[in-house]
Amino acid sequence: MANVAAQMTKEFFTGTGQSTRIFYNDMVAKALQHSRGANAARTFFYNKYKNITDLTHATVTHFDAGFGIRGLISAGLNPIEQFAGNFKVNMWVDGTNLFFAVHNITSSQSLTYDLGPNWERSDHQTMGNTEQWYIWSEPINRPGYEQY
Amino acid sequence: MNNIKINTLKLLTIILICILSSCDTFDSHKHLIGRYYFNHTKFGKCICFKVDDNDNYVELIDGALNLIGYDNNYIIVERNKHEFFIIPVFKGMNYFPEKGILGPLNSKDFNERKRILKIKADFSIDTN
Repeated sequence: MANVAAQMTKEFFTGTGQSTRIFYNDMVAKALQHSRGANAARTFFYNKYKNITDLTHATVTHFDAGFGIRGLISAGLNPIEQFAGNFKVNMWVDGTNLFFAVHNITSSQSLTYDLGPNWERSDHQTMGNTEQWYIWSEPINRPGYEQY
Repeated sequence: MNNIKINTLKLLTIILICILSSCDTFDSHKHLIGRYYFNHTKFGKCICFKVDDNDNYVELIDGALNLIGYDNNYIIVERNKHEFFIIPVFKGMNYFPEKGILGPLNSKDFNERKRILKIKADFSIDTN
């Protein structure tokens, strides 16, 4: 996974590789499964629907998971978590599984503490915006709701 | 010597990754009222609802926001000259903060709703 993070970092700075990457239920995606942000989103989801038995249509969208200094420390040596920083989470239910779709953007604006510009790769390759989607599923796990 | 070069490269890469992510530690959050914030992050601008004490939010309105105003009961947002939003303010924690949001409204509908709802807020914050 360090290689993947290193590769994405290199591709950002050199303007090479894919501008959009999708990781689906693989080791890279699941590297975020127990991140501070994903844990917060999961807690929010289960609290949101704690009084609802049927989760078929349950969703959380546009959950903005913070990072900050605490996130920086909490991420430790997890290279994917460090690379993503803060991210957005969408969640939904399919059968007995809870799906997470984490969206991250890497840009020069974030590199300059939001003071600088950002641009698409179509405008200028080097340090142009790239994005990643990390998608995984996990069994629904709600104490007291054994049918799930 | 080659191993030293490779290890140095790896270390530099990890430092670069940390720098890239550490920028997220300096996202700006401007408090509006209650649990409502104007946030400016790498994803752009948004009106967000704070859900806990760990800098986690639910986004309500995003995009190239222009002007914002608020009173005790409503937040008003001008996204551009043709798109306006009215956000009812929930006083405590709410897991459905997106409920009741009106918009996008055109200027005429926005001013009519503002009058009907007796919204006292004026656009006092320029996000540009």
